[in-house]
Amino acid sequence: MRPEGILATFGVDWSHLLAQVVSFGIVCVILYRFAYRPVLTMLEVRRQQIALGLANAEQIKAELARTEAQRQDVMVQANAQANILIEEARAAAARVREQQTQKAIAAAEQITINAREAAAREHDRMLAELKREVGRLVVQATTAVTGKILTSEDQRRLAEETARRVAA
Amino acid sequence: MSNLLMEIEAQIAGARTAAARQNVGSIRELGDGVAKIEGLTDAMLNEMIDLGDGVTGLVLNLEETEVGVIILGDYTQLKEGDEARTTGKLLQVPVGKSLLGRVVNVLGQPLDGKGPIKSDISYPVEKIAPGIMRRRSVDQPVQTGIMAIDAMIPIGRGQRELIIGDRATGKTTICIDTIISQAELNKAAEAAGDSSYRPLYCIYVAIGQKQSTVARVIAVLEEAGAMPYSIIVSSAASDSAANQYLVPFAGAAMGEWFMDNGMDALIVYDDLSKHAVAYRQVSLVLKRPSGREAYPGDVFYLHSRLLERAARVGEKYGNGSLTALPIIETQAGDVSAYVPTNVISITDGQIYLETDLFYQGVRPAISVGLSVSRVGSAAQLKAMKQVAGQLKGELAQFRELAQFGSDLDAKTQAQIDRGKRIMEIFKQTQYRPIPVEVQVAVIWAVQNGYVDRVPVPRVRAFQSTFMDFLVTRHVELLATIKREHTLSDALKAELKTVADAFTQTWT
Amino acid sequence: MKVNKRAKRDAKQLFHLCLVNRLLAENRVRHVVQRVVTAGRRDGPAILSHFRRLLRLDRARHTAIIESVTVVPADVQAAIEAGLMRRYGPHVTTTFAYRPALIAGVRIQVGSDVYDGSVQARLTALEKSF
Repeated sequence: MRPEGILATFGVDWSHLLAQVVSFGIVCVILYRFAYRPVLTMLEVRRQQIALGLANAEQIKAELARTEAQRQDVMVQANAQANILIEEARAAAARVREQQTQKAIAAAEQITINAREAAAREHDRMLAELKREVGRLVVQATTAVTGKILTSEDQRRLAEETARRVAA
Repeated sequence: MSNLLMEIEAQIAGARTAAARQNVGSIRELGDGVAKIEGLTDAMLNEMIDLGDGVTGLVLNLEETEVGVIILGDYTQLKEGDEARTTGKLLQVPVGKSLLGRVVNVLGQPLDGKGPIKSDISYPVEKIAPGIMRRRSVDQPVQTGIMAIDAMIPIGRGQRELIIGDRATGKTTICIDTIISQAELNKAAEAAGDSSYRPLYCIYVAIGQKQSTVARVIAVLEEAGAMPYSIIVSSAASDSAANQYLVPFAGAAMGEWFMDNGMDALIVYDDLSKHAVAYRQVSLVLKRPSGREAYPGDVFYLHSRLLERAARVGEKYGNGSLTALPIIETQAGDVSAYVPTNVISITDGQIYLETDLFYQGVRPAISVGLSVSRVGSAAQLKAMKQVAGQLKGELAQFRELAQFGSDLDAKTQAQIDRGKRIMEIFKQTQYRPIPVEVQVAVIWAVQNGYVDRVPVPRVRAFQSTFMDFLVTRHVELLATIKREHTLSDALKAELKTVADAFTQTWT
Repeated sequence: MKVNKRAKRDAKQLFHLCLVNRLLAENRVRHVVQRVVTAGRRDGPAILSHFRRLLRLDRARHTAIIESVTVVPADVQAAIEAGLMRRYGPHVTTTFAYRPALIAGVRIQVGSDVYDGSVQARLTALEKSF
């Protein structure tokens, strides 16, 4: 078969075909310029946004992990500090308790000492009073008795003694 | 029992020898606690006279035909014509450590009912003060426990510091605080076995005070556990003027024993105004000529010879010290009256208490501008000098600036704020002395701005909580300050950490 | 009576006028008293009362009172007088008195000086020492 015959059988007309190709071409160009390109740019933009979003999400996840780690850290530190405070408070309480015990013991001792001292003082006072009474009795007895006992010889001796003191 | 009999026998044996020549006189006139005695030709000035029944007198006037004697004791039992004899002795009081913890009168007789005083040493009541060569300069501090005094008006051992103010301004309270502070320091040193610390014994002389006041003082001292280191010598208002006149000299004699035996003592004369009044009464009854305000001409000598006996003596002459805190009560704030000016010129500085400050709530009501200590920082711990050296100047500036109200530049405002906070810090409750190392820490915190952010009404709460914090949780820091006596850089860094830690938790 | 300073001074001057060789002359004393009475001054009684006091004190200074319980033997008396004269000068008059309260011994008083050798004094001292 001859090529023109094939083309005529199928109804292909060169001028029509050309016209159609041209108009198809024009449509393509128009579509490309006014439809495809904006759509493609829009798709490109959207693709970029999605990529950015994904990257952000990655960052946020990393950030979260870090914050979590920090929080854990702080909690551990706070716990440690709390323990120290509790230890110090316990030590302080023990010290205060020790002090109070010592004070109570000292007070009790003081009471015993005071009682003992009071008893000793009472004893001393009675002894002193007794001494005074005995002394007074001795003097009284001597006064009553001496005048009757002394002889004139004794009187003379006493007078001489005084005379000596005057002369001396 | 056999002891008793032996003692009695010994006394009887001792009576075998007759007395030597005696000098006697008879009372010609008697009244107002003074007796005029005829005879007594051998009487000497200030000699003790035995008036019978255990009553003694002191010769003060020697006239041509008679002797003027003031009576120490119950003069209601004496009458005209009674015989009086000389004793040849000067008036003496028992001295020694056996007096500690006791309340005695002017003759050393006990008033507290705890039995007789056992002492074999007696010191004369009137004694000449130590001379120039026997003295040593004052460089040991007396830690009164009152921050305002220890920081800005420090008192040294051997100094005389006058406490002067109107009635009810807190003069006695300052002295009681000092005594309590010394007792606490003594006890702490004893407990720690520190032999390098010299304990300070205190003598409180009550001249013409109400008996209820003296009883209250004794109660406060007993509660604070300060009695074992104190002696109270009391001649209350109901005692005769002669007793009130002599009681400060008796207290000084007791203090001199400590000074002569290598120990330190502090004596409080409360107060010398009543002492001058008692001496005025005695002089007028003895018909001695009177001068200004009816005081006798030698009222200056009365106080100067008393206060000169307080000194710090050198090592060869006893190696001790006697610090005197005389108290003078002024009328209506008049420090230019006769007796106050006399005593101000005798003492080494004064602490001036003002009623205005007292009623504004500044207690102790110490007027920092008018108070001075002439010994000054020579008697201050080096650490205290480091932190408190600027305080007096800062407060002076604050007082100048405080009158300006508003429209001030930042620096002036900061000075005023700091000044207000320092005034708050120096307020203190009575009978609660603060140890010097805590004082150093608190003042360091103030000087380094830790209080600047605290509002002024809350400064005291901050201070007390801070002090509690230091005392309960940082005992070693305080102990280090006390031991080293100076703030090294390491100590300052430690103080900084402690202060930071405290401010963080302070709300 | 209240004797003011001027009266005392005058009485003292008069007293010194009556002294001859440091001793009181009795005729002069009488003379002085008479003159003061006749002069009739306002403070006459005051002067005289102080004058009398000075006389009394002077007499006490020159009188020795010797008290005892029994009669003092003569030789002891002489010894005492000799001693007194040596100590206080030749113009001391001695008087002897009886005082039973002394129990024993002798008490001599010259002016303000007392030599008490009596048993009573010793017992009083002993009692006081208790």
